[in-house]
Amino acid sequence: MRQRFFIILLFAVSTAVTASAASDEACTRETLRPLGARAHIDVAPLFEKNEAGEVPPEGMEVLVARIAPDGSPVLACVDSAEAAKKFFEAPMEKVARGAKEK
Amino acid sequence: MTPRRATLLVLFLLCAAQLFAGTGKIIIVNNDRSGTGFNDPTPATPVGGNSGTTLGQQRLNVFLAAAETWQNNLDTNVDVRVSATFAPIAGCTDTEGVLGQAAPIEWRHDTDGVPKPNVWYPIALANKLAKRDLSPGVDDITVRFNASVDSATCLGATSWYYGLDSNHGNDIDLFVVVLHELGHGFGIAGKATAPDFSENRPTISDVHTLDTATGLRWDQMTVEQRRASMLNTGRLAWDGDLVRKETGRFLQPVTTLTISAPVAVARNYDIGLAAFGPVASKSTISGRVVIANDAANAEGPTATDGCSALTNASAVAGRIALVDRGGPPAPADPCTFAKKARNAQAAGAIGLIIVDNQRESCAPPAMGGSGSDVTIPLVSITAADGDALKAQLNANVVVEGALRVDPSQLAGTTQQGFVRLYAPCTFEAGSSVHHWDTPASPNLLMEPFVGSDLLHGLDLTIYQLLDLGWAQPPRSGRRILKK
Repeated sequence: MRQRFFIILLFAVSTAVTASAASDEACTRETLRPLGARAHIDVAPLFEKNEAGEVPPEGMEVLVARIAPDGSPVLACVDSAEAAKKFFEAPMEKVARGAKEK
Repeated sequence: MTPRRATLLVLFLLCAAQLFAGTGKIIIVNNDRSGTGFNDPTPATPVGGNSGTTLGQQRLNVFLAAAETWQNNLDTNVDVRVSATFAPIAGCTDTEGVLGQAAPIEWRHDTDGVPKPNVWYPIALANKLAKRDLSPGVDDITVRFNASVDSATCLGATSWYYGLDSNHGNDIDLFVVVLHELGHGFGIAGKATAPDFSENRPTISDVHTLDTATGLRWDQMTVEQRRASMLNTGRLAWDGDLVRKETGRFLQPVTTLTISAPVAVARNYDIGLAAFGPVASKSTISGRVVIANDAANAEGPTATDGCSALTNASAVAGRIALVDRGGPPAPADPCTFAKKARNAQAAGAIGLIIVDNQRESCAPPAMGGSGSDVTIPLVSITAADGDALKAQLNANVVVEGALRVDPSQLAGTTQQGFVRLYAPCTFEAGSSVHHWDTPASPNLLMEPFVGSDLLHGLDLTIYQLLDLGWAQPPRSGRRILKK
């Protein structure tokens, strides 16, 4: 009985997730986090003193990249670890829009 | 010495000075260890005009070509030494990673020849203005690129493209990103992270950063004013005369929603375009803007989302319909942008404006989807702009609009003609302020999202550097490519 309950629960959850991911492209595409989201790389060390005690130059700009689902790279130039974090965490459609060919 | 001889000597010295002006070079200082980076001996096939036969040689050739492009367009006067490495940078995965980094190695203020007191200049520019090397033996710009991008474990199948012909496909055009990063090294940068100033002094870039809403430049603001200004989307701009003078050579007229009446909301609005339907830039339409009404039902939860057949078709017919973005919660059928367009079209609308429902976003959304049967142009606007229009419409004020190309305004500029700087209304991805704003079209080298469609030219960037105090060498300009 208990096993059947968990199977039903698992089915219900998976159905809900599938339905949600397929819903309104007008508003959900940018608000749902992708399934299986994982930790992003941390660029903070690039802005901090390194193990040798060297301080990075002031005015550092860091170029970062993400790979879009179609395999194309999306590039952004950031000036802080926080901006890099925002870029990596942002919905791909949002960052790809800024980089689109016009 | 006779007056005649003295005159001849002065003339000779002037000619000599002219002759030797601009003779400085941009020197790439290879700081890689033997066998790595620029010295990587891995055999490589020449590609896209890059004749290098090893990986290291090809990398160095790209750097040298980028340096030559800058050198052809900037009077370097004093040698600019670029400390360069091409080593692995930790942290790259198959979907995201660091490509590289760059910065001026040093900043100076109040040195010989600088025109503005109490302002930070990057060392390369300070040297040029002083006409001597202020830090002999020290490099001027540091750049570091990630060699791991060439491995399968970093960014998947995407690698550096070492050709010099822009045929990079899905790879990353190293030439363009080196041009971009060197631009920061030459001075398009802040010394501290915005909105802060280092030691309460602006950089020379900050001095040209103008908030067109307040009329104040960043060096005239308090830190709190700058904090507000860096979120003032569409109103933060570059005030340099040379950029302003040359803008028309590089940017095309803006495709826009123009509201002509009432005066309270009359202006051009930033718009997002759809992936389907007629191209807005080729389909000028004009008319009254009308809020479209439909039933609030299972197809769409509000009476203004346009998700079902419009109930005020007679009011909408022959006019530009305005609806809200959004649809029913899952698991109902989605209310796509195309569905809204079809409903407006069926009611006789000549165009459609979709108001964003994402209040934290300051840029109108690009609208995906497909709809080969959609024959009316549609655009999106931000929630804030939508609020302004709806306030007039709900007060029964006649709002007149047009979807068109406005020849009087260029894409990525303010209504006053200044080129906009990147100032997202919420802190979004991408470096703020020291880049052009993303509506610029065609794409510019110094936008925060380095576009894959960039040519190998310096576009407006060279004029931005001239505004900072750099000079062009005589007979230059061959490499400033116009798209």
